Amino acid sequence: MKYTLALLSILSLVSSCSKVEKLDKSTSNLETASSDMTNKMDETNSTMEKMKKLMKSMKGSTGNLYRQVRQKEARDTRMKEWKNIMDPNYEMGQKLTAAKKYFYAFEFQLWTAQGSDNEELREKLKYEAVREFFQRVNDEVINYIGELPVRGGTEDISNKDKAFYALATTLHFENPEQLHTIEQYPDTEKVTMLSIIEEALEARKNGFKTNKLQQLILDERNLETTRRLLNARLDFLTALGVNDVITKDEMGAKDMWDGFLFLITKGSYGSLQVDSKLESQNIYTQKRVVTYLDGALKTKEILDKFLLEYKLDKVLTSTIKNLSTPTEEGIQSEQTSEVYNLLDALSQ
Amino acid sequence: MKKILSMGLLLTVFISCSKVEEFEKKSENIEKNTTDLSSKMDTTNENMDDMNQTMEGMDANAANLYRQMRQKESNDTRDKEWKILMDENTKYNQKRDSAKVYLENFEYQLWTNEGFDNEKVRTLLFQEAVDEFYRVLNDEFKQFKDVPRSLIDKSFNKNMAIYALAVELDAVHIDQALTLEKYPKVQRVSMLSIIEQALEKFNMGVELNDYERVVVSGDNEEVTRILLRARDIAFGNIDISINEGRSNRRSRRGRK
Repeated sequence: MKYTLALLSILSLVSSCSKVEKLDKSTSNLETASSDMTNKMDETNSTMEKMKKLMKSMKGSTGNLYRQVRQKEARDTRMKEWKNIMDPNYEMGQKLTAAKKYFYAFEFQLWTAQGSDNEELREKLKYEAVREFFQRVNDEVINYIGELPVRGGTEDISNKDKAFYALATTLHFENPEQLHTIEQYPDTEKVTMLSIIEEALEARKNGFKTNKLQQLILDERNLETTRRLLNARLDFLTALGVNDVITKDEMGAKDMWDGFLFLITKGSYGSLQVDSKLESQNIYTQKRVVTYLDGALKTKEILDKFLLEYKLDKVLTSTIKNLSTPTEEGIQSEQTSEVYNLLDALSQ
Repeated sequence: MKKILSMGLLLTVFISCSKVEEFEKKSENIEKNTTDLSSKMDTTNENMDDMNQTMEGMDANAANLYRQMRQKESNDTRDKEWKILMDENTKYNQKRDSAKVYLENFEYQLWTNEGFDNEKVRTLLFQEAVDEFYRVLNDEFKQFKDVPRSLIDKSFNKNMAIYALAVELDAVHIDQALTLEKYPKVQRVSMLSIIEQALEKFNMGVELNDYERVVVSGDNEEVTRILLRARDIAFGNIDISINEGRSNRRSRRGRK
């Protein structure tokens, strides 16, 4: 029995020793492996450090590329669209499209609220835009006289007047890019050339301390340009609405004579007597008229609010005042009724 | 025997103790290595986060650049092609080519359904396209009372231009085709399909959305009529008429 026990002990000892040796070997391997891994992690981190630097440099480069390409391409677009606005071969619709794209291409419209595009830069971009816009308008559209012969159509207006009307009418446009930025950063303020102008006028009205940008707009010459721009905007938006309301091809002889007198005397004699064709227009045309006249009325409210002198074009005033409209029972839709209310408000 | 057994046991204990000590040492090393590794892994993750942010910045730069360049370049192309289309020295087939490229370069054609290009953006791009298209059409073709019939004389430059536009109205940019392939649920849209849908809804008395309204508002209604009539004539479908009042208006689907 004792022998058996001794033998078993020895066997167990030998067996334990071999297990322990195996464990020892595997622990040694684990130790080496974990040590290797730690060293390799050092290498990984050192490579990542290099990559990090490289990527930061790439981010810097793409940021610079974006910013500088944006500046160059936006400027190119403005130059091209300005040429289109001033091109005598461009008709009113094309001028309006070009003016809209001109305003789209100011860099403050393309500002992203990301990277180097911070608030300070946005202010600078707004200043640059206002400076460029007013310089160009003052230089190139100085012969603006403010007449708008509705019945003659836009062909009768001089090229520079058309350009001025196109610019005045599209002042409020915002690039869809701006909408994208606002969607991403809802606290971002929507900015258009019109809103910049309104902000400056608001500061002037309230006697607030004005910043450099507002001072630029409120400078005597630019303020006069602003007044004319807003007056032209009022005129043209009203004209666009009125154009869809009046019957141009069915004037009687007396109406023609009165209208002719009115036009050649610039409103001193005669009157424009026209019928409303609004009821025969489809609902979408009527809605479009509401949009135009509503825009005109908002402009009138801005002119009133900021005490800027203005006068709705005589031809338009006469046309609206002498417009033969249906009786209350004859007014068929909500839109037509709204159009007549807007026309009333505009002619007052 | 007892002595032998005791000695054996002592030897075992001795060997075991030295082995355990060795194990302990190795275990401590493993523990230290693992702790080091974990701390280095933290550094790795921090680096990865940092890199991720940098890459997000790069992605934003690339996306801003793409979006703004797309707007600018497609506008430039449209302007250039429109000039070629209206150029008196451009022959009919060249006009057709320009009309096609012009229509293919409205931004909605280049919309990708990826990143910022969501449905809202697409609708906005339809609006931009229809507004621009009808404005320039009104300027160039408003004097037309009906569809011109002659294409032969050089003085009929505008006639050729309107036929070229009418024929190519259904042009779809190759990029849109690729988007459709990638995202089969995306709707295929051309200027013709926008016009057709607007007229169909208009005739059915269904409320039109903002960009569809442009097709039938004011003078645009007449421009649409002339454009579709020219398309009918060009494809020999002159029996299908749209100029006898609203009730007779029909949308057309013909293609060369």
